[in-house]
Amino acid sequence: MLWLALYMPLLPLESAASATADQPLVVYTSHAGQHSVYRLNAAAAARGIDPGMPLTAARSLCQTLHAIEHNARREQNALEGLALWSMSFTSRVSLQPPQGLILEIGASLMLFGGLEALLEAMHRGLDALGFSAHRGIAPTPMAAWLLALEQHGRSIIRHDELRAALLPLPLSLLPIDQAKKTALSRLGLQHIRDCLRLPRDGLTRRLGPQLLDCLDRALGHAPEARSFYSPPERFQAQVLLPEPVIHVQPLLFVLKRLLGQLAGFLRARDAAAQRLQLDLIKPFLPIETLQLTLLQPGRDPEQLFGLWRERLERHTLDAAVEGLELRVSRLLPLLPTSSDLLGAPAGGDDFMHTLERLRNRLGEHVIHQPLSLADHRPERAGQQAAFPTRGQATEHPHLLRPLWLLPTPQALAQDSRGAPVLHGPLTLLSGPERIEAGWWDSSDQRRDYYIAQSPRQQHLWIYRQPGKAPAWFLHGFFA
Amino acid sequence: MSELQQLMQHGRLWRGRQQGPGDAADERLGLASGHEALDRSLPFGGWPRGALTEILHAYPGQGELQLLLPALARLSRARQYVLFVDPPWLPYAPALSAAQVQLPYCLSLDGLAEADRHWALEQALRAEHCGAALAWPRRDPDNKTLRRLQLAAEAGGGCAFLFRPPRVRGQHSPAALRLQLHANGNGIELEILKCRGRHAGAARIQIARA
Repeated sequence: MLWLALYMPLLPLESAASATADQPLVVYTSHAGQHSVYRLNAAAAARGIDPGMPLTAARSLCQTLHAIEHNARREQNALEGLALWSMSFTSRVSLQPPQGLILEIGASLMLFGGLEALLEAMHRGLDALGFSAHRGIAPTPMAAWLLALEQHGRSIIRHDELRAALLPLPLSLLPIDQAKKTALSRLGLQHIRDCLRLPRDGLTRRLGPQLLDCLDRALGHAPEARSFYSPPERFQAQVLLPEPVIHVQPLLFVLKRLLGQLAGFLRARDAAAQRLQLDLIKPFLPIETLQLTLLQPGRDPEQLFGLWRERLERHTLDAAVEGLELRVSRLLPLLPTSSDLLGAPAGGDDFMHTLERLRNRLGEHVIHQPLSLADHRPERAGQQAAFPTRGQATEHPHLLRPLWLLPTPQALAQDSRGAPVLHGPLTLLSGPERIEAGWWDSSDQRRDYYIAQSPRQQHLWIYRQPGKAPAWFLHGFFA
Repeated sequence: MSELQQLMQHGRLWRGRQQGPGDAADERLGLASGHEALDRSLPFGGWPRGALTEILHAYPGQGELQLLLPALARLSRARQYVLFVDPPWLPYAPALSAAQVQLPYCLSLDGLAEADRHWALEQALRAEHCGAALAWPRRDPDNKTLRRLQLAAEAGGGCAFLFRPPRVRGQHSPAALRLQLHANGNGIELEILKCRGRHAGAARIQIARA
């Protein structure tokens, strides 16, 4: 087994930030009425602001400083979102609150084509969502976590290299009580190496079992009982912004994060989304819900993002939005080829994506498919069915039929002898073909169809209704 | 695949040599039209793939779609989509299926706003597996629009067919192929107005009507 730990010290900041964090930004905590800087971005650090500094001092260093109060719930929400996101890479994800994740990646290496490729994919993914992490890789979860906390990005793959790698780590990294850490430093113990030199029973007597247990788990001498994150039954993810926005851009940034979570969820559930709902949460106003229905169940976050972006950019925001909630209202199991699901032709995935885009912009009802049905009535025999259609095409006897059908037959003028006229007298080339059908329902028809030629060399499909006026109609073109 | 082959496949580079009747036409470069006389007169033995073709004709019902049917049938059998972008009337399923066009690969986009038509056509042409896209511009597209469509067809590799009135005959166009269709008593006569990479062959071809 191989473990990847992600330590995200900037999570309090990144969970509140929007796309561009170029402005000096700090997250502050409040203690006894005193605000002090907790985390800060690079732009704030460049102004000489340090962690722990009173907020008033920080403001005096930087007039344009943007300060957001630390919100543990937002941080926890972001961490769980990242846990879900990381399920795109592995099914074994463990939370290390408040700012860490530990993933078992041994089983994923093959799928992603090796460790380097997997790390690269994860790094790119995190970066695109605006998160940063320090990573540690080791054969035990505890060792991986300690290496992540060390912030040198070390990878220890082999068990026999573990001990040597852990020896120089400072004891301050261990997840043990602060009181124990103080006690250790009073004893003059600074590194893991120092502890491992001492007799075990003496250490346990002085400091309790916690310290050695922690070291044993790191070295793989004691089992690690970790609980793994299990994805929710239904996908419903919400992100609240630190303050309302009126522009689409920051919403897209948040949406990208939500779709990253969705991708992990769909991977974990082995499913694809057919219908998505996006709530725009507005202060003091009712929630506005946008809906996206896909032709083909989708799970690719890039594709879904493209469709939503198109939708949002064309959407008029009538009021500020303070949060987004994304839900899947129709989830489908993923089949070997998703197109089989619809009875649609296999292949042509790229074309399907294009159709999704066309439909997303032009409306859900613009795509049709010519459908041929077993019916004598010409209007029923060939129809435009909404795509994708489940209708089965019927073979027709090889009668001569026009390529264009007029949805509504057009009455033709007649000359003095009652013969049909269109741009001059028409010449009848063949006919009549009597079509009599529909007496069993209300659309009773009796028509004599002819193929006629106009003086403009057009071939036309025309019919006469015996005993009715007007007598002649144009119904199609032999285009 | 070599770079040269790629260029040729996307229609960016046209071989000067005319396909003789004995040569096997390269299916990746040209889409056999199913009309022997026409195929002989066109480079690569058929409709140019990855390119824009304009068909100029005056009135509906002159055989303008029938001209394309063998090629459309062939594309649909090869699981390539045929897209009608806002057709003026209903593409009639019984006639299409009688011509062996596979209906599951036949789609239409209907009721589009003027501004969306070219956009939709361009998007479709850019997609892989779009074998052919057919459109009937209601307003004359400007040269820039035609250029974009030509580039989109090059990118996607499919055939773009625009049906236009004969009055645009004198206008410049970036289309790879421009034909004018004249219907007469015997069938239709095709006049080749412009053809990229064409060196020999009749400029007027007679085709019988069904």
